[in-house]
Amino acid sequence: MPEIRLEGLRHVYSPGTPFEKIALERVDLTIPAGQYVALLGHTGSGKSTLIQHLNGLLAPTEGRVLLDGEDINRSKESLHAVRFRVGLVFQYPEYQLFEETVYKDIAFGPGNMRLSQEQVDEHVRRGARFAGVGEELFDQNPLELSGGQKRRVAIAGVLAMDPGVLVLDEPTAGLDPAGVRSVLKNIADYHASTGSTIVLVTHDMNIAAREADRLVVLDKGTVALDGTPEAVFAHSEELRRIGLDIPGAAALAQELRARGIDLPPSIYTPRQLCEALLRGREVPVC
Amino acid sequence: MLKDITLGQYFPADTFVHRLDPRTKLLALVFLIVCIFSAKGPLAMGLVVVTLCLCVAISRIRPSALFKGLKPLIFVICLTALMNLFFTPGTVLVSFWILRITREGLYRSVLMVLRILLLVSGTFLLTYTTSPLQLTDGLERLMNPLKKLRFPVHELAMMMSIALRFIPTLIEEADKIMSAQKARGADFENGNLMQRAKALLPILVPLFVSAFRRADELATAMECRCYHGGEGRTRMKIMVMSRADWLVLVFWVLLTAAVIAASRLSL
Repeated sequence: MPEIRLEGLRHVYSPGTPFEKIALERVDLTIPAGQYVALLGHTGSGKSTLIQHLNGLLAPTEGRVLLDGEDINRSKESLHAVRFRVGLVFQYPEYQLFEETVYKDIAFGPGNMRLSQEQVDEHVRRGARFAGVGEELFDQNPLELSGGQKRRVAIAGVLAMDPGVLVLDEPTAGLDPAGVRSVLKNIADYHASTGSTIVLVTHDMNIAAREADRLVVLDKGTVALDGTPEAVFAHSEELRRIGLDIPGAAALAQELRARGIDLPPSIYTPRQLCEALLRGREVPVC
Repeated sequence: MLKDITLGQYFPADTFVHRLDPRTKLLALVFLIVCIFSAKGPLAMGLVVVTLCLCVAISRIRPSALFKGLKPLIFVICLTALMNLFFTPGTVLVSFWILRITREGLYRSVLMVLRILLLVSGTFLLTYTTSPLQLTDGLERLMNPLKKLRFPVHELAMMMSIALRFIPTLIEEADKIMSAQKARGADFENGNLMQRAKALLPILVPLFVSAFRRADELATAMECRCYHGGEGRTRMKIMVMSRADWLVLVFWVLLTAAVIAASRLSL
């Protein structure tokens, strides 16, 4: 599993025109292999720009992107190879579906990897399983599925390339609560059973708190906060200032502390809050 | 990469040229075209070149932006120059192998290249300084008299503004889909013609699907706002020709007259 390192990453859109926009300004970031990272930030903070550097879709204006110590932008071949090592699921990935059947669409990625027919088949079934796409859907037209199913098929198309790093841009946007839960569970299962690195872009603090080992908060193209969930959520003022928030459980805990209830400092999930409140009482822990 | 297309792109700014009524600018363009095609002598051509350079300077459009727009035409311009240079009969200046350069050929090729350059930069100047919305509004007003002949002026203008409005949206969408397919290892740059054409399928299918979806949504949104064609429709911004507009028009009429006169006298 590869380690990602960003060194002095800077990206400017449309340089030299009235539309010039600095999207990233000197970002230094190291993501060790196998970490589950949530990338947070409000709209326009540079999240989407950052993740497109991870698989070489965008080339940095300045700085380098290193995958296991090697610059991914060093040659055309390395750039092509990195696409299969770093799987990127775009926002609303269902809009990229194009094949006549679900199976063929999932097979598009593995088909570009120069594998044998059997290997492609194996990759497709594996990807579909991880993304929760049942094999009974394989012969259906992907455009006729429901919204949630389409999303899962599109995610399966990336998982089928068996990437060591999985990057997802708002994979739960626009899904119903059951859809959100199942997509997040699929990602967690993929992380647990393959040991892959996960980079999850979201602005939902509750999801970030529940799923990730580490939070990276972007603001105006730079890393504003970086650390474990408890370390980042300790900066509630700062988070609010840059247009984000703390998770519901953390906000409730803060409120309770202000009313004089004694609670430990690091609470950011409902379970932690529940256990802290019921500590030492004669009720079964939830 | 697709985002770099400058076709009809508007560069917002607040200059004299930007503030002119779109009708004035459209008419000025018509006068410019008349000038370009009637100018024959160096004085006449010089007048047009100087005027256009002035317009570019006043509008504060960077020359680099104009050159970027001219880039795709380099091939056509070179071809025109070479054809005119070598295939015009007249007094021979230089001759080698089977090629002859004549005095008339040299003159004509410079004239033709200048014409193309002026024509294209004039058009770009219009689209760079006028938003698509203003442009279609101006066109609609200018074509108003055609309504008497039952010509669907409003519908045409509406179709144009919708098309113009959606060019950047669809380019952005195509860019996004392209990135998504590249992320799945799609290769658009290598392979023979057949393979490249086939590689476009993963972009075109989603693009068409989304274009139809957008068309559907737009139609619903327009109906929800009671759109029923141009009849009885009023405007929020009513275009007014200011003094400056009339002055500019008078200037162009005079310039056109001067250019035609100069060409008659072959100056």
